[in-house]
Amino acid sequence: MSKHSVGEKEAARRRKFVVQWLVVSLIYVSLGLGMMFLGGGSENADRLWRGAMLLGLLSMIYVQVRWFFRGDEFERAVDLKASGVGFVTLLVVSAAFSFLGPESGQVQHAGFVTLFLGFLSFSVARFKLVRGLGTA
Amino acid sequence: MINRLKELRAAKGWSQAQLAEQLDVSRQTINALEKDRYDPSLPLAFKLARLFSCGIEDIFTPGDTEET
Repeated sequence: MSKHSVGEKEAARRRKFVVQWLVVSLIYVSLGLGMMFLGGGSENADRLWRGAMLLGLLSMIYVQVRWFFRGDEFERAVDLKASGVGFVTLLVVSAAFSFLGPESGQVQHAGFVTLFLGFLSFSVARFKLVRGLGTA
Repeated sequence: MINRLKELRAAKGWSQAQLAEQLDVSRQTINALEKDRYDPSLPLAFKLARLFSCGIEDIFTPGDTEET
């Protein structure tokens, strides 16, 4: 076992993680920008928005499932906790928006903000748990 | 759980990445173990013991730290 090959493997593992995270983040940013410009109202925009939300949700689920099953036991423990944090955030933000009752033109923004905050809290919780910067 | 992983690894002259490679876990896992932030599963503890040619109790001792 050479030091070089170990370093390469670790670097590859890190690269893969960063690329996955970047792809999902880009999807979310694109969804957000798309929704801002599309606005609401027309039937096509609504259809597009629903498709985009579904894509966002599926990508989030894909990454979480992939991290969960591909990781080692420590990473799985971290992902489980981080997913819990993300899920609670989704619930709280959804509940807050339901309480505020956004108008039809604002629903897509509310949905995006909910998803984005859920994903953000998952990412931050995971980072903090892995790096030990605090308890999430 | 308190462990002597860092000390044992240093004695072998291995980096965290090298130890992780041999155990088929991530470097973050080794880091979390060494900082007593995570208690390993029994299979991983056995792997560690086998790798360092000692008993599990030679590596891990009960402590007050919480498991991740």
